[in-house]
Amino acid sequence: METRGEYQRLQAEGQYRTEADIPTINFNEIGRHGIRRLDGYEKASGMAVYTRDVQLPGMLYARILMSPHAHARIRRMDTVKAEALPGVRAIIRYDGVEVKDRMLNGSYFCPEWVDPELADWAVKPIHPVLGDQAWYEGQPLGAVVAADSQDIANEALRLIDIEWEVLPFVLDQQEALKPDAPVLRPGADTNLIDDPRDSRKRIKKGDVERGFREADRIIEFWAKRNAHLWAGAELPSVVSRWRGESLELWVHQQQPYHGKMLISEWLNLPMSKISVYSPYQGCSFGGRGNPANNSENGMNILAALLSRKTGRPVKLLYNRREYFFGESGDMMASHFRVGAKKDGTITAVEMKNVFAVYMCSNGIDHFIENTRIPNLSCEGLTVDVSKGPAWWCRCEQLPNTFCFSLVFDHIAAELELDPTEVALKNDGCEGRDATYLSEFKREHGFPDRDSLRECIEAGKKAIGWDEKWHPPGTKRLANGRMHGLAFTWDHQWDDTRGTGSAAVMIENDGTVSIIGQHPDIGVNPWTAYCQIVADELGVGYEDVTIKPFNLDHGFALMSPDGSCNLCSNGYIVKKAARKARKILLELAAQKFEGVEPEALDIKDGIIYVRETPQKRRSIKEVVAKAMPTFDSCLFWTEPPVIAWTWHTQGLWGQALETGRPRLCRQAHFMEVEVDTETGQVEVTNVVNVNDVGKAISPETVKGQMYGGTYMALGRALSEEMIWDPVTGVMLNGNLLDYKIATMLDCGPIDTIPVESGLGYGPYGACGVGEDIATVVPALLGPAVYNAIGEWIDEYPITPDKVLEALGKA
Amino acid sequence: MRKFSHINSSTINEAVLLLRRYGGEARVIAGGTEYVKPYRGIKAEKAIIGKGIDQSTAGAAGDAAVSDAKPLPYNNYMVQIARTMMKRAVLACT
Repeated sequence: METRGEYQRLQAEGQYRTEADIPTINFNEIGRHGIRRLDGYEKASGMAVYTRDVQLPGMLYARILMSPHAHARIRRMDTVKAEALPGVRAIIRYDGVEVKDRMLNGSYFCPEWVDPELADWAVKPIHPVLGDQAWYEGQPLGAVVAADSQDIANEALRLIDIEWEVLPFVLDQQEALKPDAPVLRPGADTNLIDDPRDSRKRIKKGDVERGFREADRIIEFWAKRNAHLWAGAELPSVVSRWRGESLELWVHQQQPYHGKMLISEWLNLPMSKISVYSPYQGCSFGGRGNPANNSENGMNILAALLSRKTGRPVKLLYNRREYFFGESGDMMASHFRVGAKKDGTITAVEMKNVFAVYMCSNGIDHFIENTRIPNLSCEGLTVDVSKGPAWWCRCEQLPNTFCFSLVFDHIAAELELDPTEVALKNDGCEGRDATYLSEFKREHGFPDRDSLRECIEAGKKAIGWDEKWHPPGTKRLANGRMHGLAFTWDHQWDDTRGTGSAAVMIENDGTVSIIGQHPDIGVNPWTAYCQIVADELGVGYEDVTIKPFNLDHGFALMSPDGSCNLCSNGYIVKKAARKARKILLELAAQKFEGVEPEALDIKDGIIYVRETPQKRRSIKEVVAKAMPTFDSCLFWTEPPVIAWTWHTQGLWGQALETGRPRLCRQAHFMEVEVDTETGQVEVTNVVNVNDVGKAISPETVKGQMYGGTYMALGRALSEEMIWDPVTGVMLNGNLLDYKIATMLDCGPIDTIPVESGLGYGPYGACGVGEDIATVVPALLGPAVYNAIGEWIDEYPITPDKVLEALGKA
Repeated sequence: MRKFSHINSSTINEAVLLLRRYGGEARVIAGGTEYVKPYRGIKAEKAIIGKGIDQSTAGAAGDAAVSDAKPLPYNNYMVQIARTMMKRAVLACT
């Protein structure tokens, strides 16, 4: 296939990295503790401006109508009263010329740029940007209003008179598959969402029936994950302004460049006439990715249309209730069948998953990427229900980690084996054991270290595993509660994809600018970029900065999907810094008589001759006249010291990257106390051990580990969107009734980074940002099982389920 | 900010007050069991009046407090929680 060939060409040229990136520089800033966080002062002082803070002269405020019904159609809509309300400047109706019959892109990028064969979950069913039908409560439809204030816009929405045709709805994905279930999506004849790639629906490796025949023990169980979502601090918003034929957008979005592509396609406006700014972001967690902003939701387009219609800037706003318009993509009901030998060697895993609304991960991937299990089978169905769109939520691997943890902990419990031993017994990749991984590491320049064993040993020691581990339901504490202990593991997945570009420029005073748009996502990535550039150039961290908000300079960092941040962008800034260094030294050589550039080096911002270090000049002395622009008659100029580069990391769009096994592992441990009279579960201790390959910014690594833990515990213990079975209306669309954990809900958290150098990222690094919040939630069930001796496989694990498992409710 | 718990006075709103635990008199009040009005557990009171407070009588008070509870389809578990909270609140008064 042509596109695949293109990837192979990139791989051949070294753009697609499979070899270890062995460090060739001395680390001064990289890995250093105590570095001042680049965005710290602005954020901590309250000076940071977020998208929702943006104010423009003459700006109007826009609000969209949301469906009050779980499934309904507009029979008639009268906007006369709303239009007459003083302060209302424009209303766009579903039947208006601006939007009639216009669909959202339905694609992660843009349909015209997506190869259906490789698109995978990038292509979704399409629906109108502003339709007359809703199939979940809270779905935008009908009308959008621009007015002088939010209050007036809200009042105008209330004045719209609508005659609804209320239709039957369905909330459960298995119910939605039944023949008599109401079909939700207009024009569809089934709730089963057609998947563009049939291979995702059914994945088979080896022969599961043979695997079951070889097993000493076979178990079967059901599990379910109920809906949860992003629930970030900053609510969705967008600001739009037209300048003649050009459009400016201030977006609350984690992939602004791809948002620009989508807007361009929808408005049929050249990308060169669109400016997109992504200021500080009060949250994302995937919820501010393209799907939520552009594929599922027309808010950016509607703001642009209203702005064009009124000739004024428009800020379109969502409120907290409206932000509950979608869920994490692991709304799933799953059946598992697992076979294993007595010693813990798993011989076969078979799973059948039914996902609600839409999802991009099938549940089996981590068994393939991460184990030696030879026989695997996965069947996945995706079904529309009367709930908002499901997408990634830090991150799309949730179904994979959910299935992975539950299978391993269930089978270890069934065999009465230590789960850490079962993990080590099955570690590997693509059906091959750890011996293959060792060989791969040696052949590709990686250290031959056993990442999983190192993580497990560090974690066991930290939590006191050998002293505390006990059979299920056997340890009652002095306070009357039951004690539980559990372990799970996984590999690290955030070092294998992404693409972007950036430049490094030496300013005329010798300081360094990274030129590259980058959304405010991840913990502190900009600091890490500056650390890399500093060490590659030979300058101090404080001499490097990045101004990441402006997209118009043409360089866009960040991966297309949002998962791979440092491991992709780190290469970009590293390569750009190296190119800039080369230009700088060539320029400097002209100023040292009779010296070749190769004879020069840079340290602490001083360029010197290696053989005679007393011959030295500051970078400023060398570049003072290397002007990036020719706008001063007082200067004679030299070529500016600026270098740009790009990098693509891995085969994005491929569910599996054959031939590139994941090498870094992670191990997680949890202690709980269960009150068997009330069903209350308290997580009293969490130990996270993540092989991050190389910690560029150690504080950032730990920050991600803490942040992931509180989010994981909220997901495991309490986060659940609840819909009224009678009306289909969501009952807890607020942060009082939808329970997000805070750090106060966590007991002690131990964060242990392992630095094995086994990552595919720069200097052997790999990611950590998505791991813990994604892997740890499913660990609660095994911990509760170890406490009370009963499995609870429906998440979140709330007191009602505990009491029911104990026969007390 | 306080730690979130499914089971505490802010979520279950169980507030048990032994108002005058002298002269053999007691008042057992539970909030949150109806929409507005606190529930007075007369049966629970009887379970402890004149008998002192220990594990046995506190347990009896908990049982008595929910003996005529009528849970709805999705909140049956709250009866068990109310029983426990009542028992513990009584025990906390010793």
